[in-house]
Amino acid sequence: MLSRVAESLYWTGRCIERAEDTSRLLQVNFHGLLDADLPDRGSTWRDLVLMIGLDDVYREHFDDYSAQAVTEFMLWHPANPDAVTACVARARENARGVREQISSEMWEHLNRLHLLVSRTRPTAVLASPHEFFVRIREGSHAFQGVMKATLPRGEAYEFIELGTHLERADATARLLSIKLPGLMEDEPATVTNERLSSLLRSCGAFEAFRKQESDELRPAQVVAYLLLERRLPRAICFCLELALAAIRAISGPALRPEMAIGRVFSELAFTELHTLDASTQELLERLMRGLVDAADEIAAGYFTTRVIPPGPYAQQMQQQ
Amino acid sequence: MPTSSNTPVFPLEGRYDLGAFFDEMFDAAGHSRPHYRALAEQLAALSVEEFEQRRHAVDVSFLNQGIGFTVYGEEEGLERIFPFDLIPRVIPQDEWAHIERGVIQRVRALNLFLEDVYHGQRILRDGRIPAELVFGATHFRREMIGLNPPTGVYAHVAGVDIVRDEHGEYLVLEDNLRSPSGASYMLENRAAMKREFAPLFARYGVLGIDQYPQELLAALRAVAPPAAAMPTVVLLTPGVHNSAYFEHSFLARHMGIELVEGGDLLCHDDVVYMRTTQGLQRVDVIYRRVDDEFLDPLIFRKDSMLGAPGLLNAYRAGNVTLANAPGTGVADDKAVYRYVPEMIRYYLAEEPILGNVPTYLAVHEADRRYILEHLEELVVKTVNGSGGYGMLIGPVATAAERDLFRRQIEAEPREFIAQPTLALSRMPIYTDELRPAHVDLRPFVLSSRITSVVPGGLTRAALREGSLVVNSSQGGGSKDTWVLRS
Amino acid sequence: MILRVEHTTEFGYDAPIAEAYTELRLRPLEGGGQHCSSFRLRTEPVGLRVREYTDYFGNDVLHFDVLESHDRLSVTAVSEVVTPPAFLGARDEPTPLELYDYLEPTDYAPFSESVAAFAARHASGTGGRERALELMSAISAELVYDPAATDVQTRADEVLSLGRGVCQDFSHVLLAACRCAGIPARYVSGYLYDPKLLGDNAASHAWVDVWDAGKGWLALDPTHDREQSESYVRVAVGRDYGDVPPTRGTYKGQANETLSVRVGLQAL
Repeated sequence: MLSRVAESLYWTGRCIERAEDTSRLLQVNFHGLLDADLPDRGSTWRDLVLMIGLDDVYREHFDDYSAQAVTEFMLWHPANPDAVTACVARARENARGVREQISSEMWEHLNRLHLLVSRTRPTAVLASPHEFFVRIREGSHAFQGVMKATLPRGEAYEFIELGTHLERADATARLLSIKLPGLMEDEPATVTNERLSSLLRSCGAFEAFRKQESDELRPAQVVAYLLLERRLPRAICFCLELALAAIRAISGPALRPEMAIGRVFSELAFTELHTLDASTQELLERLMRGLVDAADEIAAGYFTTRVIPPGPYAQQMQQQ
Repeated sequence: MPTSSNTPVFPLEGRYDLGAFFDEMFDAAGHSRPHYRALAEQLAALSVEEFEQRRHAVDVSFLNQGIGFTVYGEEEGLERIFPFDLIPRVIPQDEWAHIERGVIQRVRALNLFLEDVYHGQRILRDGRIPAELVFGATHFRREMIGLNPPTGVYAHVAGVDIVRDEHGEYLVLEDNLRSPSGASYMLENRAAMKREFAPLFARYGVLGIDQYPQELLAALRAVAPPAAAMPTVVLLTPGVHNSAYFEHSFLARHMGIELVEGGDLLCHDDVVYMRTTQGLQRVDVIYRRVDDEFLDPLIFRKDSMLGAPGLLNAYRAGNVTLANAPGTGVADDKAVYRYVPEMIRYYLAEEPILGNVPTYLAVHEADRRYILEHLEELVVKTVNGSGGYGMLIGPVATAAERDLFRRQIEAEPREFIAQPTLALSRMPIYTDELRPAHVDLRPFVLSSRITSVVPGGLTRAALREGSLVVNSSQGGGSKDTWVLRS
Repeated sequence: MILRVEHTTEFGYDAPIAEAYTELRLRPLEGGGQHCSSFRLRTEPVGLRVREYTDYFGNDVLHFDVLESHDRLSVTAVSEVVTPPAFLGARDEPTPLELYDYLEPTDYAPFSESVAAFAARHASGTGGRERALELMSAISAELVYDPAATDVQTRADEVLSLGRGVCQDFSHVLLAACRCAGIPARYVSGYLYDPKLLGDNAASHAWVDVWDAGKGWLALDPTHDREQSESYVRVAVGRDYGDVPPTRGTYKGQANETLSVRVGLQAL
């Protein structure tokens, strides 16, 4: 598969996932905060901006961290390259260049999602955002579902899967990293409960967790669940396992991407988490660095082919 | 004018004006020509509503598949469906045989001309074509002098535009030897017609065209460098923003070859590779739909991102074949067009089977005077234009438009030619009613080890009432073309 | 005369680049009485596969690519050339295409008003050869040699209004003026041996061949107001500088390129 095509497919996966994850976060925040008993509502909204690392940019355009302002920033502000509308547009642009690789149903769903996102007026969304968030998530799910149903398993499928799951792992890790200090504070139970529920819902994992653990929510448990659970589609370990499977299916001589993901996965796979402390934060940081490394290795291994001059009429190049 | 929904589409009584034009479907007395009779009967049996339904079905299907093109000069390069008319053009076998022989002869002569101008230039030394016309042609590529393309073919894919005058005689309007497009629409149109008019096909005995992608692939493989046992063929496209991208993508898919952009290619030691997830893979033949100037920033335009540096040197070294070869544009220059009958006589010692349209060259003083004195009657074109841009249609232009062209012709006479306004043939199209539209025909000629022509080609129609412009980008549409078995 | 030429070009980049493609026109020509008895190219890094072709002007073109990341590159061409006392290619009949090309204006040598006026003013004799000699003398007399006044992009009409330039500029003016006056003319790039210059202080030189249908080719140096002599080494010919740059290339990377060139000529 052409490197450019693989890269486009990978980013299509990442961008759609990013749009979905951001929408879910916004939705949870919107609803969780309506009747929440949280000490500092503003800081929760601020967490979202911090999560995507664009606080400086945000402050150039907005004075406060109100629901309206942050939502606007995260959904469509031109200064935010990861705004939901920007992500959807990028996903579509990437897919457009490689339309022959995806099924026509996938393209139609992507197109539809893009039309939805680009045609909705901001005022309407801000007035009642729930509908909008739901439709973004549904659009993303439809895309993934259609992909599973129609795309033959091959490199195209695997690169989208790779992008999707690395993005999901990355988003969850960043969210955990931002929320971790709050969970380690000594707060009354209601507050902790709120925070844990919100965290689980932000990862789309509340109901699943509840089925598994019917006791009260405990911080270490929730974090461990989101980090280490092997059966939850939104847990980091699950995502890494799928990413690893995708890389292995892609095969070829590039071993470094597989090793990079494998390293991250194996550290987590053999970790137990019973209490939250400084080492947890370190673990998360190692995890996030490991994900960045993996992304770099993927780019180096598949998207920017290293060159070794071939012998006489070699049909295939071996990479270092 | 609205008609009730079960009014038949045909017959026409009083609703179709033959005018002074040759009509493909109807003779002077208004009767269907023999080869259209069955079609006329079928259409007569359809009500307007049924016809509209089929039309709508085709439009929706084309839209969903994204069978479109980009129109320049509008905001953001809008994507539009290429309008398709359900009424096919029918060509009896004997007429087609004549056209086929004519275009094969013509493309053979053009390829011989290209080989000659890039080598010994005999036709120029013998004074049969003014040398300055060739040397001064924008697309005469000096870099090609002395190079030897495999099998000596330069224009592997040629589109020859054919029209018919008021006597029904077939003439060549222009040759297209750089990146002639339309084959994908030709194939999609046929697919649509098969869906909507299946029984008629059986009744008629229409020659098939679906083999075109395979024939094209075979033609490309046949010109691979000799060392390539199993040649890797790719299609080089400028990318999604190019107006013909749909066709590039379509053809690549149907040939089963990789669709690449300039950035996907990498040259090393005069060999071309493409960057893949499994490493560098060698490329042997490039069906390139990128203009010469943009092919290689090392040799041509330095700022081009559409090609790859080192491509021309790899070509020179014989390690990759470019189809069509660079430099074919000198032969489809509209001023050089005037001398194609001469080429046929000089290289083939034959008389042209298909004639030219009378052409005046602004670069020749006498012609230029004539053109400037008769701007109201003539069609003026730029010698390297395509897509119908840069054209003046004298009879319908405003005084201001004619003045603009007058000034341009005087400033750069080499860049302009003029032809009389032709009484192009017409045939029925159905927009909201049945009316006549001017049509032309573009057969596609493949030249490789052998020369072949897919039966028919793309029939284009000028959809705007009274318009003579058939190009897609200027309000044209297309029809399926049926060449009959007998 | 037997001359030894050493021409070193160093390419430096302020940030690493990759996928660099380079063409060199450095090998002295065969013909017109000149004979290149040896030619060697050294590169740094070593081991580059250098390939060769002849362009349609008859110039030898060496080319290579360096795909890996790098921030410097150098090429050194060493040649030994036997030069004739004067250019002996008078009888080399130009092809119809050459005659056409050598009468056409180019980007470097446009037929501007100033060029046309200059040609009209100075080319008054009969016959192409005589008028070309007049133009050469006029250029040599009216233009001041000044290495700081122009750059590699300067056009002939700009040179005329500046009144200053280097050999490349003087040659473009002579080209434009001759062609304007109906005299076919081509650009010659090469070297000029000057015994007073020591070490590697020489530089590439440029002059002009003009064609007279009766008398043939004549090689004229407007910078020194004389015909080509045994001190000249011919390397490439073309329509103007754009056809014959000693080095030309492209690369990938956001970096600025600096070229440093050293040329040394020795009489053997």
